[in-house]
This record gives sequence, C-alpha cells and structure tokens, in this order.
Amino acid sequence: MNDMHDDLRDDGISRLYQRSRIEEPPMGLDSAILSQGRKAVKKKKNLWCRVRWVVPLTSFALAMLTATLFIQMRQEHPEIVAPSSVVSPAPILPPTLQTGEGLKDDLQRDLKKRKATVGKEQREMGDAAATPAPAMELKSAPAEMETAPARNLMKQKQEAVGTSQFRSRESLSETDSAAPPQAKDMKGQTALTPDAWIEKIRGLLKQGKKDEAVKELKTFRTAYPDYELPADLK
Amino acid sequence: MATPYEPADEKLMLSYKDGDSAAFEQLYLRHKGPLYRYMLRSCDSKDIAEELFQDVWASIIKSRSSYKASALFTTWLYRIASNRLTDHYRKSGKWDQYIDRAGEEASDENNCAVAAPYEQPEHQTAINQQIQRLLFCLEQLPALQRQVFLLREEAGLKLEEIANAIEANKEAVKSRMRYAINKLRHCMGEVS
Repeated sequence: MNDMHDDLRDDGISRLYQRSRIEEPPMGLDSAILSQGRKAVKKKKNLWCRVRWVVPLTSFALAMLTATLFIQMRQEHPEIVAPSSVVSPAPILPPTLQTGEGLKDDLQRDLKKRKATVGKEQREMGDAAATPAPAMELKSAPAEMETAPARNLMKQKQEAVGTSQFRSRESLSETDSAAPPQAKDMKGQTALTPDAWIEKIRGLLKQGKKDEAVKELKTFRTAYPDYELPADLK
Repeated sequence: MATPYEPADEKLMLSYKDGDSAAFEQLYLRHKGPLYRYMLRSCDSKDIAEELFQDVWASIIKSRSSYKASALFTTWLYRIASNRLTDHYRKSGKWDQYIDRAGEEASDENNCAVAAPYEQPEHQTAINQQIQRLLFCLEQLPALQRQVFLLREEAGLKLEEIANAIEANKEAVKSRMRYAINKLRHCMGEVS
C-alpha cells in the first residue's frame, strides 16, 4: 500500500476496519457453493471419461471398415487394387463385349477347355510324346502323325486364341493377369500359360512343323525371357 | 492472500480449471470472507448479499475454462463481483440512486447529514463502539466511494488493481478514495 498518499489513507480507520472483519458466509452457503464447484468438475470428468473412448473406438472401427473394404475389393476386382506398374493399359473394347461376371465365367470355361485340350492332346500323342525324338528326326516324321483329332484340337485352340484378343483386362483370369504384359500382346497367345505354350510347341514339333515350332518358340522367348526351357526344346 | 508456502491463487484456479476440485475449495476458503463482507457492505440486505455472493462463485465455476493467469485472480474475482452488483442495482431500479449517491462533487457534509442517528448500545466496549461507528459511516458513503474503500481493505488491492477490477481509470479511483477517507474521518468525528 505504498502507493497510497496520506489523503488516500487513514491508518486509524484501516486498523479499525480490520477489527470489524468478522462476518463470514453461513455454513449452508459454504457447502452449497463447494458442492457446486465439485459437481462441475466431476461432471466434466465423467464426460471426458465417456469421450476418451470415442476417438480410439472410432479410429479402430474406421480402420476395420477400410481393411474389410480393401480385402473385398481385392477379391472382387483384383485389377483395381493391383500395382499400376504391373498392369498393362486396358485395350479399347467394342461396346458389345461382355463385362463383369458373365465374362469371367466364360474365361474360366475357356481355361478349363484349354487344359482339357492339352491333356487330351498329350494322351493322344501317347508314347511318342513321352519319349521326345530329336528335332531332326521329327522333321522327317510321317505326315500321318498329323491326325484328324489333333487337327481339330488345333482348330479349337486357334479359335480360343482368336476370341481372347478381344478380352478386356477385367475379364482376364488370375492366371492370365499374372503373366508379363508382353505375353498378352503377342499375336493371340494372350490366354496361354507358359506350360501350355511349351506343350503347343512340342505338339508342332511332333507334327513335323518345325518352322512353325521355331517361330512359336521365338515368340515364346520374347514373351517369357526368364522362363527356363525344357531340355528337349533348348 | 497466499503465504509464500501456499500456492498462488492463479495456480489454484488453473488447477481447478484442469479438474482439481480441492484447488477450488482452497480458493473459496481463502476468499469467501472478504468477498462476503464486500457484498454485505455493498448491498441493502443480507439476503441479497448472500444471493449475489453465491452468484459470483457460480460465475467463477462456470467461466473457469476461460480463465487465463495473465491477470490477478483477485482482480478477476472482484470484477465479477462488481459487475454483479451493478447488474443488481440496474435490475432493481436503484441504478440512478446508486449513481447519484456516487457523485464525487457532493459535499461531505451533505452525505453525512442524511445519516440516520447512531444508536449506541449500552454495554459495548470502546473499540466495539468505534467499529460500529465506522461501519455505520461506511454505510453512509456513496456506493462507488465505498466500493473502492472496500476493495482496498477487504481484497487488499492497490489503486491500479482496483481500477482494473471496476474497469475505471486510476485517477477516478484515487479521487473516490480521497473522498471516501475524508468522509469517513468527518463522519467518525461527527458521530463521536
């Protein structure tokens, strides 16, 4: 109180006033105010306890939802979630082409058909296929080797290859989409797996179509440069 | 007022803001007496004083989240109290009377002349008599003069802090204080 000048302060009056300071609020008022103060804080604490769980819970739920959606998307449309560097640009399709589930079913049917064809071909080729002859010998193989069923099979294969040219990226099966992008662009070999392709080349050799087989092999090597060729085709 | 070993009011208020109800209890116990007497001596009746006193603490509780330690807690507390008193005077239609009584130009004689005759109790000690006299004279002061006197004596505020609490300039506070002291001296002498 040093800033008080004499005319602003009277020590006698101040001392006297200090002795008069005896009144206090009634106890009922004290407890009412104190309980009001405690309640306000408790209410806030309770609210915070409730709110505290909301943020992590919401985050967890959101993460779960995202993961579920991602997995579902990957199962239904693998090409959408696949890394863009692996997927080749989709070809422009004619508007009349099928899309979606119908096309997928067709593709699976084609694949089964192709596998069955290759198996049948192998069976038909019999022992001759089991003991592969040298290339020079095959060249001079009799024309009778090219049997009627084999010709039919080849025709079927070519048809299958022909239809696959118009397949959209979406319609490709998982096996097909795993192949390198170059393989899909090679003159109608899009739907062939490396093994099936090798079998096809073998078939050509067995039929005595060496030039065609060599050509196919070259195409195959371009498409699958890292694929290790079987000993009989090296 | 906090001793050097006790946490400052501002720290307690910040603790209360963070949810420590014990801090509020400490603050209340520290300030309840001065604030109660400030309200009691600024109002016409004890009931109104108690109601306003409770309102002030309710405001403190309600606005704790907006409290910033940049200002003294005491200044903040008494600003709320002064505003509450002003509101009360306005609402009860006594604002004009309140302002008129606060006229600094009014002479000391006029203010003390209207005072009711002081009744001296028969068995009071000399000091008690003096205290009663002082309280009587205080009651006769214009509201704004009484306010600055009470803020200094009850809340222990300095002139500048009083100016902050009642949102007035320091010179006006000085002037009111000077008038208040002069009138009290005069009244005390006159009564005795």
